[in-house]
Amino acid sequence: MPKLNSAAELEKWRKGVLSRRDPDKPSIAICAGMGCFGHDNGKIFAAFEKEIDKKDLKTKVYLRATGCHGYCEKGPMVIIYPDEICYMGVTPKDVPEIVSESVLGNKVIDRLVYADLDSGKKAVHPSEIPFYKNQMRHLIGSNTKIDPQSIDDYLAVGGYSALSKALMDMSPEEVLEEIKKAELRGRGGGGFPAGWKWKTARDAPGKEKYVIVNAHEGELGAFMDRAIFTGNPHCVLEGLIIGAYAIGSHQGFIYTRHDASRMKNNIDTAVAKAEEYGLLGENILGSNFDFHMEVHLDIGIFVSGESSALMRSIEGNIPEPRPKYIRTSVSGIWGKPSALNNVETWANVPLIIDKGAEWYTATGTEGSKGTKLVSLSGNIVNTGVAEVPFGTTIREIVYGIGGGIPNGKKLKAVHFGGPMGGCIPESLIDTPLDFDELAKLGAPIGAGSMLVLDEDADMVDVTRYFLGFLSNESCGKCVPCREGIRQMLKILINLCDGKGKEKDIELLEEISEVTGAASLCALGKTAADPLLSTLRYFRDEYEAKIGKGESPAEKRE
Amino acid sequence: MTAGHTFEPKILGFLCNWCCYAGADLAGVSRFQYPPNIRVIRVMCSGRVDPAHIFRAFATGQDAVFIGGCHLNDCHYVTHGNYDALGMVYVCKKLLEHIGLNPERLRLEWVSAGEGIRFSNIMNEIGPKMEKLGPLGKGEGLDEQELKAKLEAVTKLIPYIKLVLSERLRVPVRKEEAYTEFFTGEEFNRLFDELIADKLAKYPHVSARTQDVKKETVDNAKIDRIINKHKGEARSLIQVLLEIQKENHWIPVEVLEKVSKKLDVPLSRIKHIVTFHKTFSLNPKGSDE
Repeated sequence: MPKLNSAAELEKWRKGVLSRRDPDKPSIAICAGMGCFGHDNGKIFAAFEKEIDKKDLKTKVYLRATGCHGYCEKGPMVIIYPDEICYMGVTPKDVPEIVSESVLGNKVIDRLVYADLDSGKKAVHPSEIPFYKNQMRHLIGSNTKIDPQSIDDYLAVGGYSALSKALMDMSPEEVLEEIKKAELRGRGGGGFPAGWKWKTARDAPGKEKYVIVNAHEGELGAFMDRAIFTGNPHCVLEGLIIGAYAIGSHQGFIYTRHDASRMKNNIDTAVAKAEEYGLLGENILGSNFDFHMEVHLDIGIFVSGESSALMRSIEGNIPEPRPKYIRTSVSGIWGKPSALNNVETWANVPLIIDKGAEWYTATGTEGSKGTKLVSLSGNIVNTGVAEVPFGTTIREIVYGIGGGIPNGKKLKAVHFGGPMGGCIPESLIDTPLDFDELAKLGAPIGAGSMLVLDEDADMVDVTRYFLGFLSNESCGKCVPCREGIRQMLKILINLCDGKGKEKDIELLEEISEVTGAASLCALGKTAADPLLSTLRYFRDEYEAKIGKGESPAEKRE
Repeated sequence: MTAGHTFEPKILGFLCNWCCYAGADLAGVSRFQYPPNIRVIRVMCSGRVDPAHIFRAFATGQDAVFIGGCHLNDCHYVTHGNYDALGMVYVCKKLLEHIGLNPERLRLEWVSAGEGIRFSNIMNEIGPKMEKLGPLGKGEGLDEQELKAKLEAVTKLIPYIKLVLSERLRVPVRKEEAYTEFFTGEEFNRLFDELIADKLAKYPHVSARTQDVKKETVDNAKIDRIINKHKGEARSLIQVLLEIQKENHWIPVEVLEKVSKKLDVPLSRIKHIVTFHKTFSLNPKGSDE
C-alpha cells in the first residue's frame, strides 16, 4: 500500500474502495462491543463464518465484526444491510436461519426483532425502534458500518475528508476559529470550551506542544468513550490530527486503560494503518505537516484520568495531580503546552470541520452545542449508549430512549457524573440536557453517565457507595481529600447501619465544605458532590436514618 | 582465629525509640558498664521489626538479635505494636529451632526509659551467654553452606510466614496471658507444622537448588528485549514495567534494579510506582490471575 501523498490521491483511493463495494450486496454487521462481547458474540461470529462457508457465500456477502451498536440491553445484536434489519438477542443457533431467511431470502425473522414491552408491536428497522429513532447518531451512527480493524471501512463512510480539507484548504488559525465558532465544549466532564483551550496552547511560548486523548474513562457508569474508541478509532485519530494542526503540535499521546485489551488492539491497528496510508507521520498527505502518535497505558487507578495526573503518568512518574495555578495547556507534559481533551471531544472535530460550525451550532441549546453520548445504566429498561442533541429533556431520554423503569416501578432520580456528580430528582426531569442547566441543579453532566434509580433505591446507600469508591481511589497526596473522604465515609456507614447520631448531617456538610475548597484536584473537590446533591433533594432520607434506623423506603412497606 | 583469642559475639539490637532506646541511653549516661557486643538500630516501635530483618541479620553474620520494646500495655502507639513483636518473636524462635539454630539467639525484652540499670543487666547477661553458644551455625554444628541454604529458604518464605502470622496465628486479645497461652499451646505447634514447616520442607537444603529457583523467575533476555523496545528511555518507565508485569506475572527485585540502571531512573522512584497499585506484583504469582 503506497502512501497517499496528496488530497487528490486520498480521494482517488476512496473512490477505489467504494467502487469495489457493492451497495446491494448483503452485509452482516455483528456488534463486537464490550456488552455483546460479554454475551459471547465471538461464537456468533464463528457461527456466521461457518454458515457462510457452508453455503459458499464468501464472495456474495460482507461479514463484519463492528463496534458497539449502542443497544447493550438487547445484545448480541446483528444488523443485516442493505435492508437494515435489526436482530436482537441472537444466539449461535439462530445463525443458519438468519442466513437462509434474511441474507439469502428477503424475510424477517419475527422472534428476533424488537418487540415493544407493553403492546408487543414489532419494529424491524432502526427508524422504527424507539431506542434508535429518538437519538441523533452523528458520532456513533457509523459504528454499525465499520470494522475497527479496517481503515478502508472508515474511508468508505467519508473518513479523513475533514483532515484533508483542514490541511489543504484551511490554515491552522482558520481551523482554530472554526472550532471556537462551533462552541465545542469538553465532553470529559469539565465542559471547558475546547477552542479556548487550543488557543491557549497555541499562544503559549515554545515550539514543542502536545495533544492528548484522554481515553481513560474512569467515571463509574460511563462506557461511551469505550464504545466510540473501540468501534471507530479513526474518527478520534482524525480529530486529534486536525487539532494538532490547529495548535501547532507534532506529537500526540493516547492515554488509555491497561486492561482494555480489545480497545488497545484496535487503537494500535488504527495508528499503524494510518501511518501506512500516510495519514500519520511525516508530511501528511503532502502538506508538510508532521505528526506522530504514542499510545500510553495507565497503571489502573481512577485518579490517572485527571489531566495533570495523566500527564505525570505519561512522563513516567506516578500519577499524582498538581494544583493548577498554571494551566496544563500552558505547562503540561515536561512543562510544555499540552492540550488534553476527551475522546468524544476529539470525535466531534472532524464533523465540525467537514460540515462547518454553522451546521454544528444549529443543534443543541444556547450554552451547549452539538450532541452528547450518554451511557444509560441502572434501573432502566434499555441500557446502552445513546447519542442525543443537547436540549433533549431527561424525561425524553429516560422514557423515550431508555424505555422507562422496569417492573412497573417509579423513577426516583437520575444520577449524573458518577462519584463526582449529583442527582436530578424525578420532579426535575423536564430539565434539558445542558452543561449549565444541570450544573445549576447541582448535578453536572460529567462525562455523560446516567445512572437511573427507581423508588427502591436508598439514596444514602448510593452516596456511601460512591464515597467508598473515591476513598479507595484517592491518591493520598493532600489531607482534605485523603482524610476528609474517609471521615465522611465512616459517618455514612454508621448512618446506613442505623447508628446515625445527632449532628451527623451538619458534620457531613462541614467536612464537605473543606474538601470542596481545599483539595488539590477535582477528585477531592467534587467528592462531596453526590452527598450534597442527595442532601439537597432527599434530606428526609438522611434524617430518617438518624437514631431511628428506618428509611422512608422501609416505612412505606 | 589466632590461638587464645576468644570469640566475640556480634549482637544486633532493635531498640524502640520511646522506651528501650532511651533506657539504653540512660545506661550510657549513668556509666553502667556492659560488654560492647551490641550494635543498636533505633526503630520507632518494636512492632516494626520484621522477620525479614531478623533473618537478614543472621544471614549477614550476626550471632544474636536483641529486640527491646516498651513494657506490654505501655506501647506509645494506640496499636500496641509490642504485642505484634511478641507474636512475631514466638514464631521466629520456633523457626530458628526448626532449622537447627538455638532459639536463645533471638531475645525479646521490655525495658522502659527509666530502666537504665535493667538494660545494662540484660546486656551483661546476654554477652557471656552468646559467647558460650559460639558463632552462628558453628556453635550448633551446622556447616557454612548448610546454614546459608537454610537461612535463604526461610527468607524466601517470609512473605508467606507473615501472612500466616496475621491470618492464622492471630491472638484476638491483647493480653500477655492470652499470648503465652496460645504460643505455648498445642494448636500453635500444629499450625506451625502444617503451614510453615511443611512449606519449608519443600526447599531442599542444598544451595544449588535455590539458585535454580532464581533462574527460572528471571528471563534476562526477555527483560532486555522489553527495555530495548522502549529505547531505554526514562519516560517509558511505566510502559516497561507494565510489559514486564504482563510477560512475567511478577517483577523480581533484581529486575527493578536492572530497569533502574538501564533507564537511568532512581530505584526509589520505581519502587514508589510499583508499590502504589495492585497492578504490579513483587511476589511470584500464578499465570492465571
